[in-house]
Amino acid sequence: MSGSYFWTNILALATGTLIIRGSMIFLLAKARFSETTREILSYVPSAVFPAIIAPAILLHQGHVDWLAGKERIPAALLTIAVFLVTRSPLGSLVAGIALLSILS
Amino acid sequence: MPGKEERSKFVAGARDVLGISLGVIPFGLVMGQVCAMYGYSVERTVVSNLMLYAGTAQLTAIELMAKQAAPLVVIATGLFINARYVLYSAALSPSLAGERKRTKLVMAYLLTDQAYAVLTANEKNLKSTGQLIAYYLGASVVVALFWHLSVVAGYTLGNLLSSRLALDAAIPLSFVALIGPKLGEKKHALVALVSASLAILFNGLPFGSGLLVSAVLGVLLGTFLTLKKGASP
Repeated sequence: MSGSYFWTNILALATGTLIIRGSMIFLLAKARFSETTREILSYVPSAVFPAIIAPAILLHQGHVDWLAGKERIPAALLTIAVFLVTRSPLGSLVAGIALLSILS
Repeated sequence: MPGKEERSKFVAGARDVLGISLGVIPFGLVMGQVCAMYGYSVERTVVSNLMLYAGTAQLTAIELMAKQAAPLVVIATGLFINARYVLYSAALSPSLAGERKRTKLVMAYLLTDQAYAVLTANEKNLKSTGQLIAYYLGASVVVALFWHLSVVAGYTLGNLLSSRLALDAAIPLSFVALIGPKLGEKKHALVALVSASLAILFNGLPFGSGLLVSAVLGVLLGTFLTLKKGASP
């Protein structure tokens, strides 16, 4: 792979990504945010994270194969359960990974 | 000059993000391994990761470049994957509205799933913009350190690493622990459920666009729920 091909792509991606990350921080800078806007934005994590989590846990290697991915469901449930009891993100993560490693 | 409160919030941010930051380690190891596999120099690996600082987009770009995909495809796909940062950026903007451009640029560069997640989960404990920035910087420094060090470790260790541990699930599982408290609120639970279902339904969409489409639809549902009940209490 030639250097210029690689660096052209990376430079464009890096610049574009920084623009995306800064977009609303800069563009919305002058705007006053109403309570309604703030409440709508509070839904962002509730919408994004489950959309990352669900396919990773319920699907197996990108395929709709419920049986193959099944061991991830108890792992996710255990992660939630340990978190609710201990309130420790680290403890719940370790428990989830451990169960998943045993099952798979 | 940062005050005592700011310094303690910096430490708090660094401490709070430790748990989810562990989730980026396996991902960073994979990134390092892949870069070594494709014969990248260690400089190319480290510098490109510092420039882009977005793992999913970078891994996708590396795979596409290995297939000699057209630059337009490589760039468009990577930026599409990173489009979710627009939502985080919007969510952060009210807190940063009065800040200097330089501060905003640093905050924007450091924007990650992990830093944003831990900030949004603990925002109520931050009494001022100064404290919020300090907390976010503390968290971001830890995320960046974990990421770059694990990339270098993955590059160095290469195939010595065992794939016995189911570490590829570490990132999603770490998010499960984070989203937990929010789901106590009925409307957030509904948005999460719908968004998760859509993400499974749209999993087959090309270029990994399922995540983006599901998240946008989830926020639209949140918008609907907010507007339906009229003015917030």
